[in-house]
Amino acid sequence: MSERITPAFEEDTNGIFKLVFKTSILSFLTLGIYRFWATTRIRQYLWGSVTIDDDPLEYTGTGMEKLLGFLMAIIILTIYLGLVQFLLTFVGLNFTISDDPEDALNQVVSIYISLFAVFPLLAFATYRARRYKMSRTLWRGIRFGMDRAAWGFVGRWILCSIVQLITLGILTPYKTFTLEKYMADRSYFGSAKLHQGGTWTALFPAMKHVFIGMAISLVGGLLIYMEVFVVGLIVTTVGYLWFTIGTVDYGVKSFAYLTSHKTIEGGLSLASAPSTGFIIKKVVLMSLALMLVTSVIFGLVAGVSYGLANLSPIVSIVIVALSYIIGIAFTEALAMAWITMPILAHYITTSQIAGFENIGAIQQREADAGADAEGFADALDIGGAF
Amino acid sequence: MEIGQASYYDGKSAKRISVTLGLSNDRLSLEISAVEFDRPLSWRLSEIRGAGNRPTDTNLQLYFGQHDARDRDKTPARLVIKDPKVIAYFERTRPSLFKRDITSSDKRSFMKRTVIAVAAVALMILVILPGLAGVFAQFLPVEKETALGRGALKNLERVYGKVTEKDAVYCSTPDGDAALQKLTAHVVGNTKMDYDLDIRVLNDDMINAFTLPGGIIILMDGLLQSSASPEGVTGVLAHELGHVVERHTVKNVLYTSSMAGILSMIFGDMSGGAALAIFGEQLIGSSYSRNAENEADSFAIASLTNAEVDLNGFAEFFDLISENEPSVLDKLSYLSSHPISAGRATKVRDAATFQKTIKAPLNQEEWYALQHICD
Repeated sequence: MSERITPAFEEDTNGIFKLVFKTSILSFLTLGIYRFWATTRIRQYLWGSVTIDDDPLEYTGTGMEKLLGFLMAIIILTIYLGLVQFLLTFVGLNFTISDDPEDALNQVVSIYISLFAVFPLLAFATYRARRYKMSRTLWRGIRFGMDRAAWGFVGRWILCSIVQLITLGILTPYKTFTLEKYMADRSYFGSAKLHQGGTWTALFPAMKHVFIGMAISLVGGLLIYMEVFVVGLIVTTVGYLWFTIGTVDYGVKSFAYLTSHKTIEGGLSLASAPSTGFIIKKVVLMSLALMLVTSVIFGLVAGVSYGLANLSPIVSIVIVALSYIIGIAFTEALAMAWITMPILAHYITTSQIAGFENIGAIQQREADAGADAEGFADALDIGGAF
Repeated sequence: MEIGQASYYDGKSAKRISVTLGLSNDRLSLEISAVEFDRPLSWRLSEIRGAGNRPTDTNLQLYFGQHDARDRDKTPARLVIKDPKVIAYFERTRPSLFKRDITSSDKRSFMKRTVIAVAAVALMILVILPGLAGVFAQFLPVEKETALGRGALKNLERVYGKVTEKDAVYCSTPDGDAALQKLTAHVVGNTKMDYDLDIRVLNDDMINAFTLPGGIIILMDGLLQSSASPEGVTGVLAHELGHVVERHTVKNVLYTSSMAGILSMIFGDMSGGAALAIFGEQLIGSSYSRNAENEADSFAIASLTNAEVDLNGFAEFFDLISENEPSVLDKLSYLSSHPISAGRATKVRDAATFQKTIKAPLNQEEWYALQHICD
């Protein structure tokens, strides 16, 4: 008889709000230096909120190693990006053949070329950041971990992106599956290796609403082309909204499929059944509420600074700057407490671990020093919410 | 003395061991006993630390070992306590449970990497990129540079044509053009020129002049109007020609675009860092362009000396600029990208003392025609 366990998440809205508010104010005041410690503390908090069979996850990353990783990334990226950017600008200047200023095509091309120079690094950083997070996660004192295989990920990422681009997004499931399988198959809990089962074609049903949205937009575009403007615009808008929600739906459903087809060496397996409705409700309703709250706050800030117009300019600049910082920190804290944490909690509490009776056989693995933490992800600004 | 129950994980496997916690007789150690153990484990209380940072009423995780977080990862045995009474006991008796120490090895590697990172960025921004810009600017074919300049000029005409209230964008009269050509011939002298110079007078009251890639120089009418003598205009023209000869516009494009990438990466993710990046860009960009201005000034001094044009007239022009910067803010923005006018005037005056022969670059009629080119 297989024993099934559902992880729990202890949602403490006030606690996380206070923590995020406090740490983002500190990050502002230290010109961003504190952000490494802010991320660390938020992760410690969130990891500690998750319990599996009553035992909490533990985050062992430190702010200092993140700062050191960031500095390391800066050293390498300064040289790489500086030279790449320089050469691209030079090439761009050489390709400026037309003297027509309206012809912005050349500029667009050179901007895209420099994006292409950064893309492989983004993929590299994505893998490294995930490996870092895994290696700093413990449960029952047993480490998670990932192989050092970021460059293989970069290669697959480039190939899959080309496939995705050529097929106008229709083969997105191929990319999603290939990349997740690459990472999952190189992941461990202690001595036990993860395995990603399933096939990429099974993700096509998850794309249903994306395709419907695309089709509706296409019809709308056709109508506009046939000069039926009002109806065409309405249909296009509906198609666009459908497509957007379809994208969220794909994210949720593909996560569910991929998680439900993961197994852990030694007779364990995972299952996941998140609800798209819940996620969309959280994102849409809470984003609206957040927009309302922040506009009230910034309205107050504007009102206050208007009222202060006759004070000395320095005093009013300081007051406006402080209110701005508090406003931003407040927004970040609310977004975490109302949107990010509930969604995380939803994903965790709708998942299951089967074969739990085999857990005791899993052994410890070696620690992963990880030279650069997630410095590349941080320098390239793909850190995410936590 | 017994304290309560807990779960123990030995750090070697994920197997749960139910344990009883107690105090040793000397009350200095925690005794952890279980049926699986031959004899109880003993953890010195002073070396017990909290794992994670979240002691809640229902959950406390402890480890035994050194105090800093890295060693926490190296000593993976854990005690997970659920009993609120036991948690309260630990919080009461061990207030420094979550204290962290920064080790000296952390400090050392922090210092080392900070120094290397700052050095790498400084080397790149202050030495390598300006050097590369200088070298690569020579490789850009003149016709490409000219095409760039033409593009920029068309853009300028389009934008300026929309905002100006004047009838025409440029000014031109037969006599004025002739005077301008004469001045140009003076300042070019025997300098080797790769460009077909294109010098125009823009119908605007601002006291300013600038250079576009490919040998395009724009003088503004305000400059001609307010200059007390033809020497002042000659000096400005020579200065702009310096920018053309030194290919400053191309160097500047190459340098600032590559530098901007680096700065936005360093400051990009910081809260409020975008502002910091723009500020840094301004600061470094300005010092770079100050350098270029100095080079152009030196070219102008040499060119005027060769053409035997009185440098004092050029110096007076700088006096004019410093008088005509009305607000403090305008002055600051100008000063940030140009050397201080007074200093430039002094430099030019110093050079003027070495001039042996001087002659007027334009006669009265020509100067009149140039000043009234926009009438």
